Amino acid sequence: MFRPAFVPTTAPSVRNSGTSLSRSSFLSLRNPAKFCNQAIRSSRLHVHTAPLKSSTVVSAVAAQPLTGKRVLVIGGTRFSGLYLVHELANRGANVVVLNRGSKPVGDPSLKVPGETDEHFKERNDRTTQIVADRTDAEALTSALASEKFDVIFDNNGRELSDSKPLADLAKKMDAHFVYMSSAGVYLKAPVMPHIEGDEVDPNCRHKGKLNTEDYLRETDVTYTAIRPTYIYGAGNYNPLDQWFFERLDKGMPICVPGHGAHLTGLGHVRDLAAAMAACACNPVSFGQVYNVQDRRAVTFDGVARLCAKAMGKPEPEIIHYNPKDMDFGKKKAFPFRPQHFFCSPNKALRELDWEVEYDLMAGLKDAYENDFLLKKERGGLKNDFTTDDIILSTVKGASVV
Amino acid sequence: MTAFAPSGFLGSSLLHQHARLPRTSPIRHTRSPVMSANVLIVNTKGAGHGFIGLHLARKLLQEGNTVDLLQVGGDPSFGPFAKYPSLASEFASFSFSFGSVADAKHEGYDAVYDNNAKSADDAAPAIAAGKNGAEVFYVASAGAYSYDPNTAPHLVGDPLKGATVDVENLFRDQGVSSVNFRPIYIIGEDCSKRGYLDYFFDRIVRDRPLLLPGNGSELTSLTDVRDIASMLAAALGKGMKNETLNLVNSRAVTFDGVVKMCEDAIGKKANVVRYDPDEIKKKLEGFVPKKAFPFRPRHFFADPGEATEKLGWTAEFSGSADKLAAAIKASYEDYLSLGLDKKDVKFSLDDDILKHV
Repeated sequence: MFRPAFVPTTAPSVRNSGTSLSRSSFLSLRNPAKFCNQAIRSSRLHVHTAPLKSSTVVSAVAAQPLTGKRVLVIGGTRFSGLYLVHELANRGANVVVLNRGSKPVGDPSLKVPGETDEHFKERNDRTTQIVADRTDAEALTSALASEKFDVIFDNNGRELSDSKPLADLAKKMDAHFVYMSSAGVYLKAPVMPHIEGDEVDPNCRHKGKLNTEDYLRETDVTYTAIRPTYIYGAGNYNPLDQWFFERLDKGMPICVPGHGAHLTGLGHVRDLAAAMAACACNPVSFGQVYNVQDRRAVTFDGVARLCAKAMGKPEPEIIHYNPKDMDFGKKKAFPFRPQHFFCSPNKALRELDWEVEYDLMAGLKDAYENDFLLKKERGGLKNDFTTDDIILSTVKGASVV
Repeated sequence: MTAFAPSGFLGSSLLHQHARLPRTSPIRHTRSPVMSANVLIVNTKGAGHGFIGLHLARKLLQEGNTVDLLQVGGDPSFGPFAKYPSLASEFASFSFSFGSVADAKHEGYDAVYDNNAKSADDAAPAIAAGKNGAEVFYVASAGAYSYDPNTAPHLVGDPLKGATVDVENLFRDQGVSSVNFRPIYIIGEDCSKRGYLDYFFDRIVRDRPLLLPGNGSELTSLTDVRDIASMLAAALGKGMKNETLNLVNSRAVTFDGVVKMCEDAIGKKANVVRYDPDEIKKKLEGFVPKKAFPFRPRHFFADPGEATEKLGWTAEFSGSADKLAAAIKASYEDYLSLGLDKKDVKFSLDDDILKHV
């Protein structure tokens, strides 16, 4: 049963990035409830709309959410930063990226999949770069000394020492500081999903992010913290979906640690970028922490099956093994930790003007078509099956062909 | 924010802007005083949902409404049903009767909560009341969601099957714009189905092996009946039509998590023995997994996000590990006060399973 009724339209999206993803202007027509059946949406995600001249759109439409706002993005050239820059520009912002300068604004690698040259150029006209090393606090501070921003996004701070200078700068210039934290800070719990406010683990791998969150809370800076679970999509430098695609591509079995029913939270990078952009200058988000991922979590076995489906491959053979029986040395045998790890994004859905647009099938298809296949073509796949070999020889007594 | 039809691409662009006006504060759902409503509850005698009637009635009465409760079948001396008289002496605006759906009045009600219908006949009073202008709230079942082995939780809008779906469709086809609620497992005071937790208590107290199907990480939904009652009551007078809400806790708990909470409640360790129900089915003739363990041996939980968004509802009594543990502890205290620790419990099925583990 699908609620509520909607009027489908082929109208191009407001931001008209020319991407194959229409930012769902038609979604706004219906009841503003964000909690709509994702099955409907996934079938409409790849509506190809004829791109309009962006200048026409910009002049015809009243102020976009971030028109006139000056937004700093640390990095902005890789995965979440890259999509964030795109999303912010689409919302009218003047974006400044701060990085070490290896990729100038306009570098072709900074185009998002499906983006037209036209659209890319238009937003690059509103994007500038400051070259500095963010790990050098002095250089960072002096590079930004005479700058004024409305929002500062810190996507790649790991330790408090990374982000403190930026947070202090944000406070000085009365900017909104949006910090990329991680759902990895949550303490493992018998009740799930993780919800904002749950106990955090002071000894987790991400304790640097926890320290940063604590600092943001303590100082007087206007901040928002974002806790994504596992981020995926085209351009991911962490081989999550790629791990599955590589094996399925070769017709290999998928070796899953444990029983395969552990639930993991995946969030598409475009949805993450949209959630973060939706926070910018938004008073509702001040002082808040938001989990960001899909409303659904997926089992390990489910990831294998859905990846196969996204690739148009048959149901995979799945082998469950006990990781304690294996010695992989330093190699990582599986992209996810063998425990339940997922969050509810409902707070973000309620409070922000944000929706989850990429369900798993759409997201995995994006990662497969716009990333994996291209990587495969240019010979960029690792295809390191050492750990699979160990598992299969132990479990089956045979090695990978 | 209202939905309106687009007029060309600009129209939809502008609409997009309207829909994206930033809110200045999160939606606050303060409890505004509700005008007293005349409410009918048609309540099942079925074990899982039977005690909803008592708790919902109490919640609605506390909020100043007038409540008539029709108990469809059931023994007046049974647990929650036996509490109706004392509720009636506490609230003059409460009346109850035991009977059949044919006995139900359907005029003069502002709202009907149908916590009973499994068929068109059962639903007749609610349909009639709905046609007379009453809000209709139907307590269906999240068991209606088709199982997807790849993802969880169940979301409103997911594919469905089963008898309660037929009733939901019937309401809609009859022009009654019902609000359908889908619960999973319910625990709490005056419980009509103690089996969910007594399964654990019985075995731990008596030092019996605690048989668990599967791997222990199965996430299941346990909700305190007070949270059930508060969501149902919160929908009253909100003008919701043709909506579905998952009537469940905001959290699920693993089987191993339930074991730990029971151990803590009792102050005793469990002797967990895991089994594979599929394997046992092959070896033990006539084995029905449902009879051996009170929960479905798989992930079974749903997301109540819509209820929070639209009603400002929270799982006040069971929505965290601590609260759920407290609810389980309270259930154990009831277990003791009912003398159930001394009861002679038969474990023949356990013994049969153990032979093949």
